[in-house]
Amino acid sequence: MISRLHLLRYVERTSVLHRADARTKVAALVAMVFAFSFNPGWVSVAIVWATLVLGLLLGRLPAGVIPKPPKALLAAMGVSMTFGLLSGGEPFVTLADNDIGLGGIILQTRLFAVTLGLLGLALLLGWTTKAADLPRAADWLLSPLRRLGIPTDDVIAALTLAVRALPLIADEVATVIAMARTEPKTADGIIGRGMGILATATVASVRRAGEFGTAIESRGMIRIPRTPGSWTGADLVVVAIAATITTGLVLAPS
Amino acid sequence: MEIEFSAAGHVYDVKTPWAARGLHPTDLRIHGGDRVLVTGPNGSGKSTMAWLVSGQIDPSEGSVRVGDGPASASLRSIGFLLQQTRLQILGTTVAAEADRFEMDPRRYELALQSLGFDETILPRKIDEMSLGQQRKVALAGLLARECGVLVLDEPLAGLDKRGIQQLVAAVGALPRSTTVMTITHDVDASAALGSRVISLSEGRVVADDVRKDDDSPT
Ligand SMILES: Nc1ncnc2c1ncn2[C@@H]1O[C@H](COP(=O)(O)OP(=O)(O)OP(=O)(O)O)[C@@H](O)[C@H]1O
Ligand SMILES: [Mg+2]
Repeated sequence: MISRLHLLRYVERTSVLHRADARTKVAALVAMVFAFSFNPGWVSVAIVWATLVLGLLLGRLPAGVIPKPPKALLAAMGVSMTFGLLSGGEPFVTLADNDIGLGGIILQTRLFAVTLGLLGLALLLGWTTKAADLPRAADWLLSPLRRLGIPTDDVIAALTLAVRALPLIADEVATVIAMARTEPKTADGIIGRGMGILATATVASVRRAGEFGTAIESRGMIRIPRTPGSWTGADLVVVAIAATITTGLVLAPS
Repeated sequence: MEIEFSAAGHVYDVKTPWAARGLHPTDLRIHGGDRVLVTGPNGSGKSTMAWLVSGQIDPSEGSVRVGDGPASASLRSIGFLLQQTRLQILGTTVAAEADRFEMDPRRYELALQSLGFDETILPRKIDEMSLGQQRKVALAGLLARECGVLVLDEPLAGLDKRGIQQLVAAVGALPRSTTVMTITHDVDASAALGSRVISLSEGRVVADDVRKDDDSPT
């Protein structure tokens, strides 16, 4: 069975989150992730998840946007949870005369909660922002660096390419994997097959990148319009909310 | 192997905001060993139908049976030549591709021969071959597999006249029990690959006829 992972998929809606400028949303995301990284306690994790729920509501997004986690991810989580349980550590509980250390598994759970929460915030940005607007937002965010003489254009060009190519590449890799699984037993075993999948996926991606490269060459270097869009009330709302959450993340007990 | 669609339809990304219909619920029966053509304009649902038969996607409505069970239960008995052929060749050279068939590499070589290749093709790099050649290499892999069902999505695209003849002959030489579904834009050029023509338009079957020989232009 083919299983597709959707990256950077815009959901057509009218909401305050959709109306807010891409620059505002990217800046808000960066601020929240930054604040979180300094204070990643349980309370902060809870705030991130609450932000996610708030974002879904404000963006008027249906529950259907939430991707079903791939089986491989669930399996990997299960395995690492098991190791977490085996590694023990404080606190201990006693179950049928055995002392079981929950420290490891609690740490694991927090790690997953953090990763999924932050991933969710990134997806939220994708659901409410047209992919084409993201490079412009990044360009705006990096403009202080440019003023310092650091060349940011290449970074932006790479980002523009990635934003356009990633969904296509993800789709092609899913196809390669699905097709490889229908093949009869082969001589090269599981590792050889894995290498084959990797090689074909790489070829497909490189070809895509090549096509984009040609398109860019024929149309000239990627140029991002430096004319700033106008700010609206929606931006003010997003800034106010993001500022509150960022403050909460900084002040949260760890 | 027999193929049967029972009110089988497909909506991509069903129950998400990106839901897009590929095929409306369809009833269809293709007997074991039949050779059928599926045609229709771009976006009419031909590839969606092919993916459903291949078992790689489950219908979002109804069911698709291949042989005794759902198509997805027979993945290994169903050969599927993709429209984007390159994605199904895992070897970097033809020889590497041949090596991957543990059971009987001889069969793969025979299949290559039937498509007009000789042993000079073996060291060739896949990515230095034309699209038509790549398609024939991928098809050889499927022919060597003895599938009960073979689904070919636009197999003639990019093939020259001789390539078309070779492909038609190679598919014609398959055991009579192999069911073959060929997706094509050009029913006339594919006439030798089947006489029953299923026409799709906007995700629905709009015609399902058997062409008589005198239909084909001379
Ligand atoms: N992966 C996908 N995700 C969402 N929608 C899709 C996907 N693949 C196809 N569709 C949609 O399903 C419909 C039927 O597409 P399909 O690929 O089956 O057409 P087709 O007849 O094979 O066209 P072509 O002649 O261009 O190959 C189209 O409207 C298309 O946009
Ligand atoms: Mg198609």
